[in-house]
Amino acid sequence: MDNYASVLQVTDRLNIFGYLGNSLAAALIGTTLALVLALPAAFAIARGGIGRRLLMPAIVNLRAVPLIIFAIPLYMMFQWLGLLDTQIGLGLILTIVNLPLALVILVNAISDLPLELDEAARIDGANTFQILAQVIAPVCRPAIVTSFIFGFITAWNEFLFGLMLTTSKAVPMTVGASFFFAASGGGVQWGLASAVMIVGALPPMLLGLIMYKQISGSMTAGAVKG
Amino acid sequence: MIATKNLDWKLLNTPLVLFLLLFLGFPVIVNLYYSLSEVSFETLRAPELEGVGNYLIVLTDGAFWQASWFSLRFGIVTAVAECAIGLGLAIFLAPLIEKHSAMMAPLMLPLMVAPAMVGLMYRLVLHEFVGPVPFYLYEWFGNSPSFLNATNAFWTLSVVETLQWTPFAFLLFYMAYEAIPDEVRQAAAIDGAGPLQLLFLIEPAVDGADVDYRVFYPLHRWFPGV
Repeated sequence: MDNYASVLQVTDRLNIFGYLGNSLAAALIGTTLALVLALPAAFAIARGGIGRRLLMPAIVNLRAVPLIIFAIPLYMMFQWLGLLDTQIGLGLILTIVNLPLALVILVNAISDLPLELDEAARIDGANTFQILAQVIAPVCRPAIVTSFIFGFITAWNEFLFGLMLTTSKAVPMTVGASFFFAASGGGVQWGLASAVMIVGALPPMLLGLIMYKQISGSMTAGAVKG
Repeated sequence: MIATKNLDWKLLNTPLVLFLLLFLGFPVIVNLYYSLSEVSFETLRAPELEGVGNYLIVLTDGAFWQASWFSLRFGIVTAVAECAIGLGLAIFLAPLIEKHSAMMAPLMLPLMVAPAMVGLMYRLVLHEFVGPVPFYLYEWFGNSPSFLNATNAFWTLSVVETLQWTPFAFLLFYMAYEAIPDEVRQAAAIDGAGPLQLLFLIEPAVDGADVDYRVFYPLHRWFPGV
């Protein structure tokens, strides 16, 4: 267990708990903000049809665009806004990464709900925003949880923007892991490298193992139509 | 009433649209401007417009076409392999997963690990001097290919990519397969239909174009080569 002990030891140069904390914070920001933005939009798209022809395809197609093409302008913008090397800055980028899948899952989930739910709430005097907050959001909880799990895992695993937009204070686990490879000098420390990879991969793996029923169950439900 | 509802839908979409305009709209505009300008580190904030010269340089560069050809081949090979293996796993493991749902967890594990970590793990495992795979190939067969050299990198990368992302294809195909109602499956089985016929012939008949959107549209986005 010497390699694990070395990995977990905090030094001036290496702090695995800092990297884990940064990944956790950025992933939580990136996932929560994506859901906060996607849920109202998904409601408007599924029920009102507003954004179905332009907004929805534009966002879904973001998955096909390599986000590296935005690297230089985003770096400059973040420098200007003071967001470089911050957890919030990384979280904002992870929001963009998470938006397409969150929107697809939520639009599908809301489309599956009977329209009578909205109509009944409206007859009871609820306005559109109350229907979203008090009827749609609670009923869509499984889809929201699924989006959250997928988003968190995707955000935790992101490497490119972590490498580009952070230097010391907000370095995420995926980037921090690479610091251990030649930590002691004299070539790659393969034992240490393996240990840090296992530690870094554990949180999303545990989340996936614990929540696999939620993921498969909710996605299967989204595909079923009576 | 209709006008109020329309305004509500637009208000619900507004935060998402504003977020995208700020974090994607601005970088797109800057990217377009830079692509038509002479830019260096000294002139990063004051680029000079110069026309389509940058595009001409890129399009006449052999390295660009070589890289594009590599990406195209890589996309097609991995997408076809992932879909074929994912579909096969979904069909043949569906009865087992129905009985032992916990099987889903290990099948989804590769999805949970960061691609950067997976890359580093394979770099270690396939390393010519310290990797266990070349070591055992030498031990058993007296020879081992250099998995990471320029000649073999394409296929090594394709296999690693396929191993990591096949679970997602599997999940999508599995949920499409599971969406077929039991009565329909039983009726089809009595008529002699196999699992493949069930998936491709009966599923669209049950769910219509909706399944194409819900299930296969995300698939196209995740595997752009398909």
